[in-house]
Amino acid sequence: MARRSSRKRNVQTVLTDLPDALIVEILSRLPLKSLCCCKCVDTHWYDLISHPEHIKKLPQTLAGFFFDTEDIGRCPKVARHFANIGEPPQIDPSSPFLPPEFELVRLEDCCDGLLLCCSSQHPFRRLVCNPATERWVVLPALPADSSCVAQEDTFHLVFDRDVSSHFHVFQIVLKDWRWVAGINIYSSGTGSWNFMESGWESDTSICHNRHLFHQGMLHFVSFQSTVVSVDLEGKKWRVIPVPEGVQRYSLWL
Amino acid sequence: MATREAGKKMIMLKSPDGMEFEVEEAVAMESQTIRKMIEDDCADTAILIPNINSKILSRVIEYCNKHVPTTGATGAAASDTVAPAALAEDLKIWDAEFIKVNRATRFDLIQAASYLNIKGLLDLTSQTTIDTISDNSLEEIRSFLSTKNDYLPEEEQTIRRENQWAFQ
Repeated sequence: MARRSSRKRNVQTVLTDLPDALIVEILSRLPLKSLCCCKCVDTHWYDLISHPEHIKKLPQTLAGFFFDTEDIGRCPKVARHFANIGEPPQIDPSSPFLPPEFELVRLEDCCDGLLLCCSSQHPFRRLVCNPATERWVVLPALPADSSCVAQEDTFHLVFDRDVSSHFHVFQIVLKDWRWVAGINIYSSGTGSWNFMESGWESDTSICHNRHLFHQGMLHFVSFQSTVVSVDLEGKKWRVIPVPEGVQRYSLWL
Repeated sequence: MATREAGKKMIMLKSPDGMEFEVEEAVAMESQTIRKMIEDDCADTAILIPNINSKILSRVIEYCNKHVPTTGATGAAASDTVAPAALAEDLKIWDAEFIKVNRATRFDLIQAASYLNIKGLLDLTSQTTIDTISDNSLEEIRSFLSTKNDYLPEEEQTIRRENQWAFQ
């Protein structure tokens, strides 16, 4: 018995016996945090994870920002650029990997390296893409019973790669163009929209461009000068009061 | 051309150590690699599977047999009377039992799943490794990988600082 087990140990297979491509395949299933931890294991692993060929297949962050410039003497006159302030990979800001109907996109939101884009040709078609890995998902149409037309600025992308490999898109459903009636929530895990009725006061209206995703809750500054938040499943709805006299324009998330 | 017949077409898989396994074509086609060979008509009678010994190949076939969609095929019978959710639960339990193997066998299965391009099997066999790396400290990961830290002290300091957030 003892002899058998010691012999076994001598020939024990280790992960590094596998071909590099296969190790990368396995590592691509790790959350980003563990992947960064693996970089510190030894120099071989650092090289493996940082290799330009492998980087595309692995979870990663982009650090930088997109900006548009306009020049009348140029065709097309509007050009999109990406200012990279982090490590490679370099990306093509025109996102040539997207399907043709998304040739021209308007960037609506971004979160932790993912972009929410709206097709310029088809204003009701949206997708979420990762410009670093060049992967994308076209969002399905909103539920037909979303009784109001979805306004452009009511879409919010929520993603935290440390917590989950899935992202969510929130579409705020408004009543009379102002009051929050509920939220359509898209989860990349289920691939579908789900409507959740608002748990905030019925006269809540929110500043759409002032939101923050933190600790599993999407927070907004409201026009009632409070901070309101909702969780990823649309089940927990909170209102955080602020000290009396504080106006909404002096609230920062 | 004769391989285009419907029904239970059988196919022979051969391991390099000389064993032969007769399996249903539908089962063999769980492997995208074999599926491509069959669709391209490169597989008349028998397919030699290089680098995968008979012990591992028989386990792979066992997996495919269990996971092939059961539309009146042999093997897992009576599937139409069982609810899909119960079937999925049953598969999960079966998978958990299937993967109770030693590390060497698991890595052999990973290689086989990769070569034969069987996504479900690759997911299943990689999961233990993923869990081990995700749940443990750097030292424990090093010991799991049987690797020695070959960074110079100052190098390690720099790299740890760059990735500091991952250790919190």
